[in-house]
Amino acid sequence: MTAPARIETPRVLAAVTFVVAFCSMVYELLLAQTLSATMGNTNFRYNLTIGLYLASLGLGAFLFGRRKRDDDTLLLIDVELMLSLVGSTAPILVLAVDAGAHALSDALGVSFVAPGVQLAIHLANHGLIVVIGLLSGYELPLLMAIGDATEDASGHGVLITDYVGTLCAAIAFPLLLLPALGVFGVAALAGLLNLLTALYLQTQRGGLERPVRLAVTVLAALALALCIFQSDAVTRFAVDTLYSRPLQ
Amino acid sequence: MTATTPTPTTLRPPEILALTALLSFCSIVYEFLIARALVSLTGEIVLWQSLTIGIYIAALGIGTWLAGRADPARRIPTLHRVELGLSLLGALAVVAIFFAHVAYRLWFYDFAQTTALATTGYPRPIHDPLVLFALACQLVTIAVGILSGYELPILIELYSTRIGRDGTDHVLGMSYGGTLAGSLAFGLLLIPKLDLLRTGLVVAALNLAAAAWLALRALDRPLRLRGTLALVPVLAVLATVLIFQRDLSQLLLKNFYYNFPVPTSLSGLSERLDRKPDIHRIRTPYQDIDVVWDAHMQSRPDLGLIDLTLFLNGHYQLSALDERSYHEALVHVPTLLAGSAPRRALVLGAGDGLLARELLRYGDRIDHIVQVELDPVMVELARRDRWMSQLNGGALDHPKVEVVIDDAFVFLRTRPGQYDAIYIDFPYPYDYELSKLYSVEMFRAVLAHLAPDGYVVFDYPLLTAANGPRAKTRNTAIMSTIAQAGFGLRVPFGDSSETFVFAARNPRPLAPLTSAGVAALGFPLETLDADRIAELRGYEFPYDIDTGWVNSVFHPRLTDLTDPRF
Repeated sequence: MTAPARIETPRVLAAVTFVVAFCSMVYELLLAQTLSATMGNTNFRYNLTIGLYLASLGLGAFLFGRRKRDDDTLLLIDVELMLSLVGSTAPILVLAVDAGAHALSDALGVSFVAPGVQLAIHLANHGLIVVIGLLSGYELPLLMAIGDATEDASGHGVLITDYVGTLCAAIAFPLLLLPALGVFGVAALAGLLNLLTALYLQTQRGGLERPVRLAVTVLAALALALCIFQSDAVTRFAVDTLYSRPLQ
Repeated sequence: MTATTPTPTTLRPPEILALTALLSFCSIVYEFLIARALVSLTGEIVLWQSLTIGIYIAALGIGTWLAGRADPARRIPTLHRVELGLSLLGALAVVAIFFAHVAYRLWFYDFAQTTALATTGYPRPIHDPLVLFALACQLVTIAVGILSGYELPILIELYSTRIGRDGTDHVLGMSYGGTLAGSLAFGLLLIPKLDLLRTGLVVAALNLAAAAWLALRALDRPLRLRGTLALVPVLAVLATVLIFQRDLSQLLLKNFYYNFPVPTSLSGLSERLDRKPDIHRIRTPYQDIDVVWDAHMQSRPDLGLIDLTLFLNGHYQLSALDERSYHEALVHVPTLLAGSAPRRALVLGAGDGLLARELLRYGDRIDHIVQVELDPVMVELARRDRWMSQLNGGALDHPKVEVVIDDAFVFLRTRPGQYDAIYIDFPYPYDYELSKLYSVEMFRAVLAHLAPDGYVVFDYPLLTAANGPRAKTRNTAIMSTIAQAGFGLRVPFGDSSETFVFAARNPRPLAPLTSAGVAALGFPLETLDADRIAELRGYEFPYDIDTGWVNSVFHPRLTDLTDPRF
């Protein structure tokens, strides 16, 4: 713990924790929604998604206990960036997996419902849930460790903020976000929130040491902002190119 | 974490971790239970699922905060009391919510109705403040959440002092594991096998076992006797609920189905419901199927009249008294409009077999009927139940009928095949989940399976201009969605009781609906008489085509039918 703890005021920590919890829950609800579109059986899909998510949260917390790096803030920035990348693209990836599996099974002359094809689809789709869960699970104890290292030891405060973030996501997703922006718009919004958090942390801490990462973050944030404003166009594009395969 | 160094507990580290997993399991199941109970009473899935999880998680936060302020020297006694409290809540939460609902309805139909009659002259109050009732029930969620919130910080501190270093990650990991097990067990094991009441009892027993464990293994000697004795009254409550759980379940179900618009007093209620036959509830992984006898009190077995009503998840599905009117319009009006009966038909939903029965009346004119139903239990019920199989005439066992158990969406996206007619009989889009069945993606998949001259028919709650300005909004949403999916011919039709949409790929002239056409079908129809034909021809459903209203799985717009815009 040699790095100076400049940014870790309880307020910043609370904001970061809120964003992480909010975005992670939103990513999972988006995945449940998208998976039920490609794989069907909505009730079971929601059950399995939330269950796998919670399990990978636990696994992420275990992995955190074995971490090597000791600069927690730089680690936090990287986790935020990865979460943003995987989370915001996950719904498109699910459609790509579906379209790819259809194309592959056609090319190989096997049925789409063949066990091998279905196994590959399940592994790819549920892998996305696990990756997002792992990253979020890794982040919570990381934030708690940062919180405990502050002068007023706000580790418990982190846990509470995490609950509030999850609560807000659970309420906002069906009532507000999805009706307004659709799956792909909401994914871009959550990705942008994660990126902005990473950006803030970078400008405060590691930004000048890692200029390429900073530039990529800014460009990605602009691209996601564009996707939010053009969410209908993105939805149409995704559905037309990846989902509306002619059936015969 | 604090200045004082508390003495380590006598519990061994693996015991603390096991306790963590067990308590997290119970906690998440309570949350699911309350959410399910409220959904079953209000019928609004998304709202109460998300609000309950939200309020629960916020209450967890409050509990965590309170635990941080509690006396660190009294951690074990605090945890012991928390477990006793949760056990009691678990046994009583579902009962309390359902009885609160009974009381609410008695108040609503008695007091509110009298008030309405005095002020407006109409006996029915205009607004049912059910949402306030459901919000009040969230007090139970808050109680469960706060108590559960105490657990994790206490367990983390117990574990960390015991192993002599920070063990947050281990305890959190176990907690997540328990939560995962709870969420999988609830959906895959508990609810399919037990009902809400009995699930609550099982989990309450687990919490009581945790309390007993703490009392015997961890409480200091002076407190141990009191702690053990405290288990007894909670055990007595659990036993009481267990003994009366069947009676309680029936009372609640009967109240839900039989008590509807008839106001009565609490004292007369039990006697009134006792005279009614039991309600047959079948739990499946997909839904609760309730078979209700004599809901309309119009059964006349002496006249061969069966008053049998089927509810799915508390939503009305079909009544033996008027299903003919529905199925005859859904099947035969499209045939009359198109000019001929379909050779190959696909039926999505309608596992009750009544639609297939109606199609089989075409005899030699129909070759093959594929019936796709998600819930195998529904098909079993249609085949085996005495009344159901009498109603559908064993249609699902007919050699021309092929029953496929699959999600309709997955069936359409993965199986080849072309059909002359596709009949869709899904539940109405009561919520966001069901609205996926009416999405542009669904209708595109349907269109891909239509023969060049084929058509699709589905029932949908369309409105006429007499229903006011929301009629146009509601009709526009569904009509724009099928237009976007590629249906060039779109014909809404219906009468005062049933409304449907008939659609095909390309516009074409349709035959007029006449009594002569009905006579030419070659078999008698009970409900499609001259009066009804006149009514069907007279009803108009206003709509626009507006791409802003297209309902997509990726961007739902139909939300639910209680949305004031609909």
